[in-house]
Amino acid sequence: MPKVDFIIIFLVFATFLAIFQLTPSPDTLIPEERIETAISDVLGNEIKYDRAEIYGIVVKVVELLNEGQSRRIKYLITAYFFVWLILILYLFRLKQQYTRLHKQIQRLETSSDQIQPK
Amino acid sequence: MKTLLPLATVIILFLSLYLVFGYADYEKTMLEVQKIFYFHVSSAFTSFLAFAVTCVCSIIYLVKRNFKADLIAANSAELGLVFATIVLTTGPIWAKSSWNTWWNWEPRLTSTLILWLTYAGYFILRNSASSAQKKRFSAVFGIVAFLNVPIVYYSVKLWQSSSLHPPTTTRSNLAESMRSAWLISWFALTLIYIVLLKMRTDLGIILHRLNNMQADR
Repeated sequence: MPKVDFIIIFLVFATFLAIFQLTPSPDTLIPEERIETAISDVLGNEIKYDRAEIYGIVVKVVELLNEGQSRRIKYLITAYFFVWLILILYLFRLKQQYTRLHKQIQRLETSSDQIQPK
Repeated sequence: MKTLLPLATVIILFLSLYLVFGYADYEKTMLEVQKIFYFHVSSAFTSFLAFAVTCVCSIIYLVKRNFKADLIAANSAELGLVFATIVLTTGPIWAKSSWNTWWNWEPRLTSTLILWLTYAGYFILRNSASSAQKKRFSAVFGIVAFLNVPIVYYSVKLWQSSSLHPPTTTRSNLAESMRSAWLISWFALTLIYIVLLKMRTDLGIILHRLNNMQADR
């Protein structure tokens, strides 16, 4: 039975990791609406700039800066995921040993009660 | 005292996570993925510490035949193996992102794998030898196996031409924010090691007493 618990923990972690890895993420993490809002905030209502041209440049710059960011973050999260998984599995193993020890003590107490004369 | 150390460990762990993700600067070429460094290198150093404790306790056991020394040696080796496993799983993930390969038979990786296999062998020996011999055999093995640790640490310098890892001296070139985040992470993992070692040893002592009681009956 403890081995089943062990496998369940591992499977839960593995499922989360699989979902996280298989979910497609956009290359550009800053949404287009936010870029437009930011350009409007900077330029205000001035009409001397070609907004479409500025928008095109900013989008390219953002894409360049964000290039591979989602990929790098996936690697980072996966690595930390394994750090916690390994530590949690070890803690779980310790807990199992405590449970086994507790049962052993209970068995010993029961048998000593039976031996003692009433 | 019993709850103070685990509580301090949790606080330091959260502090280290804050420093790693909220305070430390980004490395210019690897950016976000470089943050693996803080727990990867700290785990490696903690495993070295654990194996050093195994070595010292093994010597004590051979000299004094102290049961507790043997217990601490075995438990510390087990924890060292846990931290070495963290190193060997986070390492390839970082390598895939930075070097575009999961594994490379370069000196640091190969020597770390050998270190892991050596300590896995320590437990195979411990479980296969008869109870009278296992403590003595594993103590000798624990001392000899520790010779691997300096090889892993200096592997980058020893085989510089074929190494992909940066020389160990680059840590002194870390930015101040990175260095403090790394030191606190290392401290947090060392505290985790101490807490787990204490828990595991207490458990071993109770189990030993219980077995003795059962044998006496």
